[in-house]
Amino acid sequence: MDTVMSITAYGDGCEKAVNMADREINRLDRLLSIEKSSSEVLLLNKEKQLELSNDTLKLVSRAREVSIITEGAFDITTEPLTRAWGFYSELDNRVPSEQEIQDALRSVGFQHINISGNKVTLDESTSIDLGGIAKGYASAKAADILKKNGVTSALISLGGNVRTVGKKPDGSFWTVGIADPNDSSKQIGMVSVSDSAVVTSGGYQRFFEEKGHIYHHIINQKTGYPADSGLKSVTVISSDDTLADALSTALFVMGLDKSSELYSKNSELFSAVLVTEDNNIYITENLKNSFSSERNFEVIFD
Amino acid sequence: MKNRGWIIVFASALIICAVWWLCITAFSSPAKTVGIYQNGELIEKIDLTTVTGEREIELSGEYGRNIVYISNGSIKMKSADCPDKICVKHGELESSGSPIVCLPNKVIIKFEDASEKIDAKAGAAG
Amino acid sequence: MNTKKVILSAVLTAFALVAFVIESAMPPVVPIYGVKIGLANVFTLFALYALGKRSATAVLLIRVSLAAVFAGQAVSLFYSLTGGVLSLLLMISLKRFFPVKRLWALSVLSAVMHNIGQLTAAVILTSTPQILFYFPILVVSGIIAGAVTGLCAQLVLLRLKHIYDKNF
Repeated sequence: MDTVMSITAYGDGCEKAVNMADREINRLDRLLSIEKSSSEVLLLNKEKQLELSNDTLKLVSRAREVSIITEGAFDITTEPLTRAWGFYSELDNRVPSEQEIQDALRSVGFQHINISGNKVTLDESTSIDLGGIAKGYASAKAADILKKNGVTSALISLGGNVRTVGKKPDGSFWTVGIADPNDSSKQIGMVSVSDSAVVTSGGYQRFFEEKGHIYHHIINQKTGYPADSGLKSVTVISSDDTLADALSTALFVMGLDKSSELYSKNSELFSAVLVTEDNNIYITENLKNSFSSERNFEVIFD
Repeated sequence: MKNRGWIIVFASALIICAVWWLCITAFSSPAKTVGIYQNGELIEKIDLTTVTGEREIELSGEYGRNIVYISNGSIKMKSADCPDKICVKHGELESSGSPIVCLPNKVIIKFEDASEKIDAKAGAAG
Repeated sequence: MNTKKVILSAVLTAFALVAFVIESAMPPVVPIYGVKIGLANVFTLFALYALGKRSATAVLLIRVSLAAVFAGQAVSLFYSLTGGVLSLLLMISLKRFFPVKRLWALSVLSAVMHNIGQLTAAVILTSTPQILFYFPILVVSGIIAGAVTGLCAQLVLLRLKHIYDKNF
């Protein structure tokens, strides 16, 4: 899905399983990626009304659920904003005018999407982009295929999204490092996981500089500008891949305090590691026994 | 000693140490180890800071040859027989960027995490 | 030690603690514990010149202990003690060569000594001699910080000379 992918698997029939998983990921990429001409998302954005296939429909519904629990912070309708800032092509990066942003904001928000059965209707100038949740869905599907084919231990890395199946062949937990937003060749810490998705979102992953200011790709759906909530990166760990993928972006937009609030109401659903602008690290309490780091960090209680 | 005497002593010490410090920091760079992988297997690990002169490594895959070029603490894909040559266009490997990948020939060049042993890293690509 | 001295030492210790806490809120310049401007040292110096070496020792040791308790870390106690004690010993032994007008110079020497102490503690505790790499920048920051804090203490002492000279 426009990035590097790698699958490492152990178990019977793993070569066949990996090939199937690989094909499924490519299929989903062609279906969901807004940049592929075969994409259903592209078609929906063009026609504004479409009967969606199962996978796409599931994703749109899931996106709505996450949008609700994050009070709108996760939003798949930010496509016009992302386009205005030129993040769909490296050559287009620019700072849009206040007017352009206001115009784009008018079509942003889940209220502009109507779901009826498998028919989805978008308001006139609304467009969606499933990029913030599709990778999670794809890795979940890939993991399912691996498991169905007898794989008991696997590690999937999909463009920076990590998914683990079972434990390592020797019975120990997989150790997944969390990239340092200031230097992604280093890490701020690592988590020991099994059967979980580990997804990181951060402004440092995609940004451009204009006149001395840095503008990154995670747009705040209320202001229309790159999210400025005091966070440099958010990593979400969960057995639910789509949730992890969506929440990593949502928590980044929400900021430390709102993220803590969301965690206190949903602590059995996910864990998170947040790095703030002043390079402080915070982890949710349920990670206390699986997170380790050479640096200092604080715990968020629920 | 009068105040002026002490000022001279401290100012000299300060200047010497400041210059010394600038020399150290300007000329040293953190150890950078890179790994060259083909088909998921580690072909070679190289510490870029210890490389003197130039070096070329040739790999061959389904779509022909890849030539890796190392010099001056940097590594890049000098040439490749694959159709898109994205790996060659990638330029030098940067610590803050993504690995150099030649998909057709299944070659990957990336920085190794010298410190802790981890199985994968979240958030480091794209 | 008379009551006045004890009380004044306590007040100075309190101020030193506050100064320390404020400084801790600032981001570190260098990744070694305890390297900072050393505002708290102004009070130790003041105590040394106005009240004597026993007071200065008390101000330092009590401040360092309480700071470690507040920070909730026992490790920081070892770090603070090494730098603090070494610089205190230097201050006390060399004081006779530095009248109030040269206090700033003594402060520079003791600040550099403090940093060397911190550096040594860091190398020992973490067993990484590579840290010695920071020596030159620690000397530079010690000179600057020592001069600033020393000047502060010196100027105040000169102003208050007429008060403390009479009372002690």
